[in-house]
Amino acid sequence: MSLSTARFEVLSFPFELTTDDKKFFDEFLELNSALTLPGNGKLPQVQYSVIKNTKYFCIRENGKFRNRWAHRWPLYLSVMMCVRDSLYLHLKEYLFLHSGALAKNNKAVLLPGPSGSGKSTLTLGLLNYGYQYLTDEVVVIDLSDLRVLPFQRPVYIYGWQSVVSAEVEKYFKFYRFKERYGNTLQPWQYAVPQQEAILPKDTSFEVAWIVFPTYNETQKDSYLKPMSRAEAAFNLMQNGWNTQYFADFGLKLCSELVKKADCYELVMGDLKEACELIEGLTGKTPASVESEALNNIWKQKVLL
Amino acid sequence: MQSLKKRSDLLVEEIEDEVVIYDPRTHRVHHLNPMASIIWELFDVSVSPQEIVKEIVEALKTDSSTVEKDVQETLKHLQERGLLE
Repeated sequence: MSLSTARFEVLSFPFELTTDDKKFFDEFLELNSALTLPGNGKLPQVQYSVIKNTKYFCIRENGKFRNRWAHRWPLYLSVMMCVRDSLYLHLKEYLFLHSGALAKNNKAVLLPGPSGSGKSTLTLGLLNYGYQYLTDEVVVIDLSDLRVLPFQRPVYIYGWQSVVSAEVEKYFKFYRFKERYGNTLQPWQYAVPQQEAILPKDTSFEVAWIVFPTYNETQKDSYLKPMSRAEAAFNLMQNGWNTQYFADFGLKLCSELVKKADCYELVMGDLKEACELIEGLTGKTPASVESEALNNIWKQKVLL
Repeated sequence: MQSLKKRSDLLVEEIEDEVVIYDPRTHRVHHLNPMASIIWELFDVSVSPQEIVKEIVEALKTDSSTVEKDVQETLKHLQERGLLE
């Protein structure tokens, strides 16, 4: 059995991955290219292993069984779920929120919401309007200054259609594959930020807008509704990945965060309109964007 | 209702005109709308629901029956969520 091992660092969390599956190892390196740094000699806090026995790939964390899969495709997501759980547990200097985030002119817009709210769809849509990608799922707030840090995991997208304009496509690499659900094969793709879209790990952005998206399939258009800062703080607490570790300090953090930002609810019935409403928050007239990519995102209901 | 008071172990954040409460026992967060927030604030200084109603009616120059209903409902809501003792 030939083993591949590598050490990584995400934020300030060093970890190690060992596997006997070279294909998965290469995939893990490629998909994490924008998210992690090499371990650089730091001792790993957690060791993960993915070893194949006769039937399954077994995922272990510090030797303890975590999960098993018959196929290769869920491995990346499954290992990264373990990594994320460890981040939330070990890193106390960050607040992690279930939210998408983008930046423009050095200011960040957060898109917090539970699965199904449309935050990932909106994140992809806004890439077409010149926003920089920060994350589509895990917002990292540095507690020392309440600024948002990039957490550029690959965007996980249903369908193989092009979801960004030709201009944006240059900055992402797309990995297309099929996943088996029962007897059917479904097309999925990862969009991995490339050199030009990768932000230095010490870049941070002031949170200027917090927009809570809600997807409404009966709605034809989209509209923004101002939200009180108290309600926004309450909603942020509901979307915290690690607020439980902070107890009452979590509410203080969320309160401080909303005091510095303009807060809105975005009811989404049309993606182009939703993107333009957010673009309009910056005070600029929204640029006209080719709607083909937006239509593809909307058609697929990407990651709603 | 008169003997009820706010629990002293709650974390209360006032943000603009509204109140958000963190309950360390249940780790739950509660958001009070503007009227409920006023009632929450008055709960400190007024000893009975009637006094709270009187304060609000005087301050807002509004109809007492609506305020009475709001106060009763809010106190019931706060009690159900274990924020009063």
